[in-house]
Amino acid sequence: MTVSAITLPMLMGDFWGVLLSYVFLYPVMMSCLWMIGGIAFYFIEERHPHRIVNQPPEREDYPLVAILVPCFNEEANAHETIDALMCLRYPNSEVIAINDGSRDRTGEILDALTGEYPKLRVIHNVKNQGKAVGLNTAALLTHAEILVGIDGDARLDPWCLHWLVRHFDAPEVGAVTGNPRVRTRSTLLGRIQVGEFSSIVGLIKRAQRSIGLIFTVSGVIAAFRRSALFEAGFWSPDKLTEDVDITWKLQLAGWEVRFEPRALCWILMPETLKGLWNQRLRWSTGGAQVIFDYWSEIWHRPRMWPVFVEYSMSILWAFCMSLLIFYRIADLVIYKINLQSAPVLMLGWTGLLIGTICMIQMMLSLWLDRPYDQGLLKNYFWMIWYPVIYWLLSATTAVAALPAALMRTSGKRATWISPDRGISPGKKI
Amino acid sequence: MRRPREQQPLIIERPDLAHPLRRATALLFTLLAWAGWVALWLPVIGSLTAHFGLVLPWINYPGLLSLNSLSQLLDVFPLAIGSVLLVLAINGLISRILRRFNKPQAHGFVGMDRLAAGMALDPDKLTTWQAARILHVEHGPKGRVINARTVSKATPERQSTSHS
Repeated sequence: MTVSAITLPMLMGDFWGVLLSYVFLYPVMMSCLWMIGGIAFYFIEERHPHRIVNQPPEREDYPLVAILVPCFNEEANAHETIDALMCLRYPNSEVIAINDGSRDRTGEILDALTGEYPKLRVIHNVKNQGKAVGLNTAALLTHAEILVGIDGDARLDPWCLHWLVRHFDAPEVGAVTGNPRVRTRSTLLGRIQVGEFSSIVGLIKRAQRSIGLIFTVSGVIAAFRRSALFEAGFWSPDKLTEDVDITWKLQLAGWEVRFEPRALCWILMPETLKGLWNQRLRWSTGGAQVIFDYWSEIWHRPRMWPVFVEYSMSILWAFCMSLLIFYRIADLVIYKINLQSAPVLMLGWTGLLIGTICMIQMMLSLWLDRPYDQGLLKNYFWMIWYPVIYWLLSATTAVAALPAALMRTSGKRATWISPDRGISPGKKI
Repeated sequence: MRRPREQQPLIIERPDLAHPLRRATALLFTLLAWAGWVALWLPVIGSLTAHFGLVLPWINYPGLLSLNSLSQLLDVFPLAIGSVLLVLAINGLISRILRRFNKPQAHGFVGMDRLAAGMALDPDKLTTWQAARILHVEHGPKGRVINARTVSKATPERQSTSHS
């Protein structure tokens, strides 16, 4: 028997069929789960009291909220971010900007802004310490019990705090994550991410909340109870994704983490492939790092298993999919003969079904987020790319991230440089 | 009175700023993707018409023209949706039972003394730092705050500093 005649199906026997079924069934199952969970969240949580963002329910009291804004080399965005924070309608808040050892004019700009805005305080980290240390420092240096973390290039909706704070009336709530909306929509990549933030970020969080857990808060907009952070040990300086880390720490400590789709935060996303790849690789590596680090604790907390199983299945799917893609390419390029790998491409009925479900999922998620983001549905034209781009990007980053997470030195400080922030006037890419 | 700064629009939708080739490629590939999508539906249409006795010879997808294979795949959906609903129902039931018997604990508020002790800092220093408008902070090797220098906000020309 020649080498070229030995095929993967022959070597794997029945397991080949199982592999193909899993690669097909996993996206179908997850899509169903996310859609049903999203609809359940809409009926149980989101419709009450209503979905009008600029009419949040009145409160009897407005506890002090500190908005923490870590900034590293943000001279281009600091003005806009701080100006937007000064337009918040919440009556009792302070803003703490953390200049994390920036090498540009960020510190100078922030200092100057304190002269304009009495509510603004500035912390200068003498050396660059990473986002987690910046947040820990600011959390220590405020009186506020409720802390809201946002990125240095984010623009908060004026009513965001009203929607976030109401969740802390429940004593079991340790954190609430908001709804990030993409601002940069000039290129295909930007427009695909508009859909992704509805279909993946928004819908998955809705679905996860319908089973009472969340895999991660959005680092760009999340509110925390300081007592909960204290109990959980605050943010970990060595984690690449401090948001995934703090979510798991809080939930493992017994705190509830919620999602508030009406708390809007407008964000800049990369519009180059390199920027997008670097960002997603860091997210994947950070996610894997957290799961590895808290493995034993998760094992003893059955409550956390549903999210853990979901994450593990996605990693398994990424490896199976990558194996099949590699096999199909080898089949076509090296042997140039049919080694029974045709089903791997998943065209025909299978591809049609997966694609159809993905497009339905996309439409549902855009419909759910429609009141919060005017003109969202017109981006559906570009969403045809979503099944290909999202699943391929997820598979490749997951495969690349796992060894990176395993080999990462324990305790090594996590610092990074933000990717490109998309096209804007005066900044072409 | 402060002059308002010029702000970028909330939604930055400026395709004109992208390279024309990049724009054209994106549009072309997206149209092709939609065309491919429509082409994937042709066998469904061909199968349905064939089922009702109308054979469309220009639709020829060997191996796909059987509605049986499609219905076999569709059998997955009751299983998928049923499993999801079962998981949600069981989880909802367990949560309801747990909430009934385990009332949420009132976690203690972390006061200044506890916070300072937890961070190995002097409470008086921490109180001073918490009131400062501008602070320069030094950290230890593990990222803990070890010292801070307050800067009294004054006119840009005359800034006074004090060490705490």
